[in-house]
Amino acid sequence: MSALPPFLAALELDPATDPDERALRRAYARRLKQIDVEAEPARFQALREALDQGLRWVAWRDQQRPVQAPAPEPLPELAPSPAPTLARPTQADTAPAPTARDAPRARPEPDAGTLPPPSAAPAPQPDPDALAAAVFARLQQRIGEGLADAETTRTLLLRFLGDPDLASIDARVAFELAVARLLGGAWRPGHEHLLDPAIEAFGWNSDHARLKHFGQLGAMLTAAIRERGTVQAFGPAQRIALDALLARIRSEAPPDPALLAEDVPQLQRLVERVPNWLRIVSPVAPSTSASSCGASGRPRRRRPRRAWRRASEPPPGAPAA
Amino acid sequence: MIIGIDLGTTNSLVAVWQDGQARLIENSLGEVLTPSCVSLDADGSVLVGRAARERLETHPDRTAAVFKRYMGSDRKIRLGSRSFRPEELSALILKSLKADAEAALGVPVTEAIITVPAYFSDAQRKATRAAGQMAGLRVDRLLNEPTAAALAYGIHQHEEEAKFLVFDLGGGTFDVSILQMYDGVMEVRSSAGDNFLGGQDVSDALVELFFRRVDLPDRLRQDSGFMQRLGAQAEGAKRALGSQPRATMRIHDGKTEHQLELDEQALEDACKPLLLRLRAPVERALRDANLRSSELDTVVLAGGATRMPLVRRLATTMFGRFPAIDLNPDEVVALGVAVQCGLKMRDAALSEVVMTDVAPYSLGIELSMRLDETSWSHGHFDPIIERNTVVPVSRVKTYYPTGPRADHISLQVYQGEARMVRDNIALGSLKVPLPQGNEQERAIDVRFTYDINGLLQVEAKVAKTGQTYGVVIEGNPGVLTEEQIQQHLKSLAELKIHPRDQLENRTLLARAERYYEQLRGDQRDWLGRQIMAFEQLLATQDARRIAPGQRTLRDILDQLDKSTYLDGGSGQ
Repeated sequence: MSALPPFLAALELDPATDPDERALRRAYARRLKQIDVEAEPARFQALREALDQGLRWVAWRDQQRPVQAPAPEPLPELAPSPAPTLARPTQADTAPAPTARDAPRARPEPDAGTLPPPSAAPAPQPDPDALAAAVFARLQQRIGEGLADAETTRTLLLRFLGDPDLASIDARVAFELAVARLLGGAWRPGHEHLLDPAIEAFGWNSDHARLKHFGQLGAMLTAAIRERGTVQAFGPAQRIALDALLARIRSEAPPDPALLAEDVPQLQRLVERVPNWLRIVSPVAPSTSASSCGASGRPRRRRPRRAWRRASEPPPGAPAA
Repeated sequence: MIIGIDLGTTNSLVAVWQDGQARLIENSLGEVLTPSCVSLDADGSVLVGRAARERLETHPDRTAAVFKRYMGSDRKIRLGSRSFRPEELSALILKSLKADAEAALGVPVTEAIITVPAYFSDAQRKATRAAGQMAGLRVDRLLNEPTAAALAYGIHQHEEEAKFLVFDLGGGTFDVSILQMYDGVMEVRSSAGDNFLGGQDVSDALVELFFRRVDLPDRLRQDSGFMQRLGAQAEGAKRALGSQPRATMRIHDGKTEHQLELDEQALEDACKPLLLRLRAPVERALRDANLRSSELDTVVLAGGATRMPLVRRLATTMFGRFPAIDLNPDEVVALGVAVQCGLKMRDAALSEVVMTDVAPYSLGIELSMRLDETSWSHGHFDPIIERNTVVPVSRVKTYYPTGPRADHISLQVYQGEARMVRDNIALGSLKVPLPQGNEQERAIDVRFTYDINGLLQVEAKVAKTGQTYGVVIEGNPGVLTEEQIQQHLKSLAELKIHPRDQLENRTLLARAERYYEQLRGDQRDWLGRQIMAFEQLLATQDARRIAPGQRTLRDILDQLDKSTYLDGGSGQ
């Protein structure tokens, strides 16, 4: 921390005091009271930006400080969930959180949302993370069992979202993060059916900012959703060929040498155009796909993705989260 | 003096900041809640408030309610032979509140702060301001309703550090805001909401339930008087279920009487889809504030619909705690807007308090993305101001035309959160001529400025020429021009407003007429005679004779209320 970040000057803070969030806000409050926000919007905006930069910087610094810092994600870690491939079909075994689970509670099957019964006493709240982890483990298990199609997965996901254990907002957020992580992790059979229902159930398309909270993972999913739009715009013939190709890649059978000659270049094009989407719906991981396909390890060409691209803004005084 | 107005879907209130505290002002009937209803009387004069609400059932074709829902749209509402825009009806409410304030304060009032749902769009905000103008009020400032509620709560504890969530479910709109308070700063961290979700929807759901369960013929839906009466029954049952386990909806269709017994479970089943919709805005507000619900210090309930035990229970489960209800949820927004009046007048008692708010939704333009050398993907939404940015704010982004030949760019401005513009709300467009030149020269800087009132300004600057196209968003049929506002102002001024000092008697008569419609046979004739007698008394204009007559008629109506002769009469 050699250079003096400009926001410290704007907030009239002494860098030697090593300010924390509290100090930043206090300094901001002091300055804010000297400004007529209505009459001096520009002054206010400059001050506000100094605070926002300061807050980002403090968050970043605090993340750097302890060496064992958790991954840069604003949301808390989920409780460890059981291994993804639990072959046992007994449902009771997969629910590690016993708190609110009296065994045979009736679960309305196709219903998307269940309100707590009128008598639900709110008093002792079980840990939302544990509740979410338990529901997620059940979802994961069902996916591992091999679900037929997207429709079944959709019904399943909506049913789990209606689970009374996910009534608390914190539990819902933890559950969503778990599903996002599952999609962002290595592909397993069934994941290809999960992406579309997840986009729908969590509103990832109707809310452009929702995935931002998931950091890197969110950025990857955002890119995948955009690429999904590209795939959806394929013509029917292209789509049929794509589905056939994906089916072959997902299949555990050894590849047919005759088809391989055609598949490899086609796959190469997909890796270039829709790498993130491909990574979610198939075992092809873009980072390794080039070598595994036997193609030359040529790095992906960079080209402007946006025609109306955004001009580069001056980088903020501190790294953004 | 600046007055604060909570212009609600169901009820409106007016309040002021006086002697270091918020004070609610009573209307001519001595009540702080003025129903947001307008009716045209037989003589063409305008009735506002309770008198108008009484007439919803007896004169549905001459009476309007819940028009806040149509603010910002081009929809006309017909009263008798004249049609009104939602701004005009709102202006009539505002005029009546202004008159109440002037009567209470003894001074003319020309300026007001009006509250709007946080999630109100640009067009809806402009319509609210226009309504103020038509009512002869200068409205420099609009205040978001949940922020107002938070001000009412926060003003007494602004020294402490706290984070809280306001859950504001009114008659027609739902808002959630999260606030953080520290060192005299009340900072809104995030807002989210649903502009078409409120207590009115619960009543509508009960009406639907009645039609289904009782198996009423669909033609009755065309009978506006019947529908109003059934709506009133639903409203009554909804309220009753707040304090008792059962309630009955009862109505006569001219031939038979129908009734439906309801309990809490039935109410819950009927409005389950509505309750589920409450969740998404809460989740979004928490995420955007980057908070877990356990980090909140308090959950504050505002809006009349949060009285429903059903809603309270849901809030309790969602947040894992009991919400605060220290202040009357019907009044908390009005109390808060009074605090804002004090802030605006720089009242000494509030000199150490500053409040900042956010833009509740993202604002941006339509963008095309290049997929490869030849193909484009169109219709993407590119936010320039991200939602929950602290306001006032001004942001600029640079864009390049898609092709080298186009002689102009048409900027399509949108509001919303979806990735694709087709799922967002179009606010208008702005055509910017482009010079010839290379890509850099043809770039344009698009600046969005969003002020504290939630009004947007868009500006485009061409890189090569430096020419600026500052444009007010146009092309939205729901937004009136200044000229149109002046026209409406004039035509409203020509309307005869029912004299304020006679409103109490007029309200009583309207109520009597409503009961008359519901009664049958001898009772009906008898009440008819009572009404006539009272009208004759009124004609004498002799206050000494009118007063006892008024008391008599009121007693009669109160007695009838407790009888079983009326729709839904409890017989208690």
